[in-house]
Amino acid sequence: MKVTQKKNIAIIGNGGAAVHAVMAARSAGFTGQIDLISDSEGPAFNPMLAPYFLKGALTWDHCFPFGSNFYRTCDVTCRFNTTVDTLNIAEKSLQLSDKKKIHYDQCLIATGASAVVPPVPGLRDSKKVFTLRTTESTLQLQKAMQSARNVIVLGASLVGTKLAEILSKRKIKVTLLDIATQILPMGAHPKTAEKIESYFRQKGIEVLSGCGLDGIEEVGNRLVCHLPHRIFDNVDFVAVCTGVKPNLQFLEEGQVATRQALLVDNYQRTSANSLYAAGDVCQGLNRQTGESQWMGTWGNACYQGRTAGYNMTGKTTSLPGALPQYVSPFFDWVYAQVGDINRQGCDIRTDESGSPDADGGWQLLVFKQEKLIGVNLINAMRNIGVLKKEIDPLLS
Amino acid sequence: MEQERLKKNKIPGLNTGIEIRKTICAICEGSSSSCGINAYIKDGRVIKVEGMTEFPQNQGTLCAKGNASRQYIYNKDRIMSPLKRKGKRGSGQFEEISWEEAYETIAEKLLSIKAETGAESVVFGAGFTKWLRPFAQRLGISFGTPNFATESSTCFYATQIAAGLTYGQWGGPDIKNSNCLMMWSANVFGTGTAGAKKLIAAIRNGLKIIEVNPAVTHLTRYADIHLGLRPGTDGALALGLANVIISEELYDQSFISKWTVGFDEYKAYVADFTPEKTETITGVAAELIIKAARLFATGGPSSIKTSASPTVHHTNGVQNHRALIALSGLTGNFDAPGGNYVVPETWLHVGTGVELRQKQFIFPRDLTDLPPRIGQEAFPLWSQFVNEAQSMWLPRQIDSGQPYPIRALVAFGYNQRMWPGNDYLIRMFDKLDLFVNVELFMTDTAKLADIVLPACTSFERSELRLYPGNHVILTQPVIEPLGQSKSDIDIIFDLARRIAPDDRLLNQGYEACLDWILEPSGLTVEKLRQHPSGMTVKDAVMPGFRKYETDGFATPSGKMEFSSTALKEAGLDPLPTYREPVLSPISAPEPAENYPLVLTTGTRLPMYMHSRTFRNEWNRRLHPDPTVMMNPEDASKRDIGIGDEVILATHRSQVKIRAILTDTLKPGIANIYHGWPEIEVNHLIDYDYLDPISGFPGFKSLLCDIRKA
Amino acid sequence: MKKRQLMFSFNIQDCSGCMACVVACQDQNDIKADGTALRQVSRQEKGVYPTLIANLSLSCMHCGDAPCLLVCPTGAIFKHAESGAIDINRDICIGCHSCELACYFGAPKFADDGKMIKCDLCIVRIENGLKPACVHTCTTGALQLGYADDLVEKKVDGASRKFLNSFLDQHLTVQDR
Repeated sequence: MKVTQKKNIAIIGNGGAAVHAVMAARSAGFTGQIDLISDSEGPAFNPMLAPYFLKGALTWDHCFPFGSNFYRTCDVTCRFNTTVDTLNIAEKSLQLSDKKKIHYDQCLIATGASAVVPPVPGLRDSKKVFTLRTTESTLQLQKAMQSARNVIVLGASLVGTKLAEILSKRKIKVTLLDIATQILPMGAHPKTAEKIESYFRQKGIEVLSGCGLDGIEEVGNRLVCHLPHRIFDNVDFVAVCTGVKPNLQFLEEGQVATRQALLVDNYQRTSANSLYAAGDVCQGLNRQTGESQWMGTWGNACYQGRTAGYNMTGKTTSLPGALPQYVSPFFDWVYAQVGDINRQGCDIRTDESGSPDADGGWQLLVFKQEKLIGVNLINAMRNIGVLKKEIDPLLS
Repeated sequence: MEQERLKKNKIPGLNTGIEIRKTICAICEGSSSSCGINAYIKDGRVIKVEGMTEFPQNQGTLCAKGNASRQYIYNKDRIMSPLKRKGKRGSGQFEEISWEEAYETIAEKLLSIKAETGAESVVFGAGFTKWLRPFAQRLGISFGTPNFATESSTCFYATQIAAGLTYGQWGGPDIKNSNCLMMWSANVFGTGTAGAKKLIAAIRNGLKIIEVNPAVTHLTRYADIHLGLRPGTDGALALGLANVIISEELYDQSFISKWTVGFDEYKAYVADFTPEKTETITGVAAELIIKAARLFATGGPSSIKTSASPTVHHTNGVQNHRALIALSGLTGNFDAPGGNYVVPETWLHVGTGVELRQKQFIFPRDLTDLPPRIGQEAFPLWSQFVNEAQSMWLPRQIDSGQPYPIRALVAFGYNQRMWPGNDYLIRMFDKLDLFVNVELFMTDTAKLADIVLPACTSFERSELRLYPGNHVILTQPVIEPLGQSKSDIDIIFDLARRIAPDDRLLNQGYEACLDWILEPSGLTVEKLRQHPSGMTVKDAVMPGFRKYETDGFATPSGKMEFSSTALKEAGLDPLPTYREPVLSPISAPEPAENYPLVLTTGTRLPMYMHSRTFRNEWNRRLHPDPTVMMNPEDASKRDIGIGDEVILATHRSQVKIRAILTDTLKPGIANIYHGWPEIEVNHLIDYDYLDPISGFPGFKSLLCDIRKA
Repeated sequence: MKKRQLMFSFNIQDCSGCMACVVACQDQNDIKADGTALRQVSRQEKGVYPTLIANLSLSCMHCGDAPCLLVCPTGAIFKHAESGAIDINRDICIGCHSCELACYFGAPKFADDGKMIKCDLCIVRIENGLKPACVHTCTTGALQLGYADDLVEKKVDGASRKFLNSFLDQHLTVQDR
């Protein structure tokens, strides 16, 4: 274990990946300076908690899982409310927005991702359109929820679906839209989506799949929303959950290899020298398909952050990619997806069994040449360990 | 905050108000049962239980049943007051009455029956556990009836008869000094778990194990030899072992010549049971028989451990058991160090060096002064060796009224499912003038009673118990009895005042009786109270080995009887002869065509004990559905898959259950637990499918078939 | 002070499947009968005679590097410093099931309030000089508790003795020839 003295590390970002990188570096024995640059002010926020905060499941200060003492305890030099103007790879330096310039031995990009608002007419300008990703947007949404009676959620992603549940639990009329032919288009099998859509309808949520938003306009205090075949007037606000984009604004075109997000290897190294990336800003190895894939979960960000932190401070560690997986409670159901669920082909077979409300729940298994490659579960978490073991090439 | 945390985690102490009080578990009973318990008490309630670490019997361990004690004690089905039947018998319609009214009704009825047809028309009975029996039996004797009818009529007493006929007495294995232990259908891992750790330790210390069991069990992995025999062929196997021991001259010649009778006839008889022939009968490979015989005879000191009933739940049970225990004397291991060590029983069938007045207490009068017991004529040998009635004969005597009518039954926890063909017994209850059942719950048997008296658990009462190793405990209640329930002992003494007023000792009360019983040992109730965890009587004098060298054997000949004098006199085979079970593929080839599988019932499940603990949800969920275990080959021939619903049928009845497929059973054998409340396993068996010597039902060797439901 | 990790030690050879540990844990933690047990025993028939059956008693493994701890979004799951036990602060559990997804042993369960509950090594009992309820009750001694370094030493010792014995057996057999 190499102990690097008198070197310094720069971390751009202040989320799960960044914090874990710091913890890893310190536990590896790194005693040099760690500069943490963030456009917000600490402590680190977990965007995954935003829906739960809105639900009332936890208080605001608990949305910051590492607390504010963290930076002092780990001796982090914080440069909050600062952005990076230029990253000079050859020089190994960062030009910051406060005019300072810092040199680094190793740099970690952990700037995460931001919510995308699609270019639907009226959407980007309106003050009654909210995303859910940052502390500001969360608090804004909380405020808007208090007096809302009628809401459209655009994008039946994992976040959008969760938000629809939360809003409906507060007796707000919710219409959940997605341009795809099903809700949860990434990771849910059409049969699964059908079940959940039906369940949501039972709970009073209007679900419209294969339906986008043509445009919105503000009329007085309300929004009028134009759908392809309908008009919703009297909408209090639109929540946009159509996906996120990695925060790479400070990088120049072609500076670092990118696809959907920054490309990294199993050591979290980017294509550039001494430059690492971890978390939602990058895409690592999907060890099931062997391909690079963006898998933006809190757990993955933490593991990647830790791996980067170790490697940056001389403790060589490889993270053998990740297996796409997700779990979320929806009302009284617990939904989970693991692996490759929507692969098509003549060597693909699906097997459905049980029922969400029966003992043992409902399982949908997807086999490729009789090898299990993906599952969707509703209230069937009892088997998750065994199923993951079957799917994961590292274990099976 | 910290105090909340301690309370939530049930940490005993002054600051949490949680106190540990000592008691024992009374869910099951046996040589490695009646475990010591730490009851965690708060505000007069048990909030947690665990095994008592300092208790020598179980040393802190406790099985799944004991751990569910709270669900037993505080079960919503606990009966809270005396009940009197108001609807038709079996309808379950009862009204609450006072204890006073209950006692008066019972006493009046019993005394009037006594005046009309004699006290013997009243039967006192008892189920599990046995702690109250000396007192209940005394009550009956003082009242004037010889009839004390317990579930021991189908428990271990047949082994006592077998031992009595052969040696006069028997003893448990002296494991401490043993080199080789033959475990004959004994299972300490599912039942009697207090013995599990100790056995494993002994095995790891070098103890060799010969396991005799139709199935592969948890013990098999530790055994040096496993003899997987067809159920019911134990006698043949034992004779096969004797054959090898004798033909290879591995027996104790000195002991045989000085201390036995009938050896020559025995030798001639076992000559027939060659390893090959024995293999044909039992299914055990000849070379294993030879290996086991040699190990037992030459790898000693060798001892034998059996359990209460598997070897005697056969129509040839007593003789089977005689054959296997004979191997001890044959090899010079009887009452020898490391062999089977005779320690006379001092309390509740446990042999210790603590001298008590058990027999004197139970019998203020001799049984011979009283009319013959139930079953005495049908089972004369039973009556010779056992001082209770033979309960299996109870329904017959109620039915016939011969030699005298049976009109009342006062039972402490009866379970009608202990009888084979129990539908017959249930019909006979209708003929009784009075059926009193003392119970904790409205069981299927209590439902049939006229009066139900609420009993309480071991946590709510005081009981005396002795353990091997001379540990003695007199427990005190750790909580108040629930509702109006009482300790069975209190009920016995309350009844004594009314129906046996002339019994002076009994009417001095429980503690006075205990002091009288304890007197020879120097112990008193007062002294035992000072030791809530019990105390080990250090100066207890254990009997020596080879007592027969000075006292002889308690048999008519004064020697070990390969050829039993009593059997000969009764016109039965004096040697431990082998007979096929009345229902076996060999003895009953025609029935076996329709019912080709050998059925054994009653093998233990670790979370149940007879009919108990089904109400404990924690236990029920461990094995919720009635099941039968069968071999996968037999299953596939019948198109039965894992967990399938099946019909298990005998010539008499059938039950619907789920199939467990397992290779632990050889093909041709099916194994079912007996105590399920929702199916009638004992309907599968005829009420007269009994061993003619002991009156024990042949629960463990029957014929059945299984088909997909 | 050196950080030590407490862990369950389970001898699969000795476990008889008596299930006392399951019920002891339910009794200690007041788990409702129709709730999910925090410790579970499964019986597997896969072996070879005479060890046809394997009984496996499993609860939380109190992993040294616990995946549940890492993926918990609120940091509700934490590791006790002295013992290494993995525990949860239920006040900040949001019932997201991330831990359940991450665990390979099925340890996280969910109570009626929707929040996670699992074996906590009976850590408060341990702090007060008592054993976990399951370990205390185990009828065969298959389930025990110890510090990881002690247990590893014991296992290594046992394994090396086994190796030595088999080596000696072999050696003697050759000699006899």
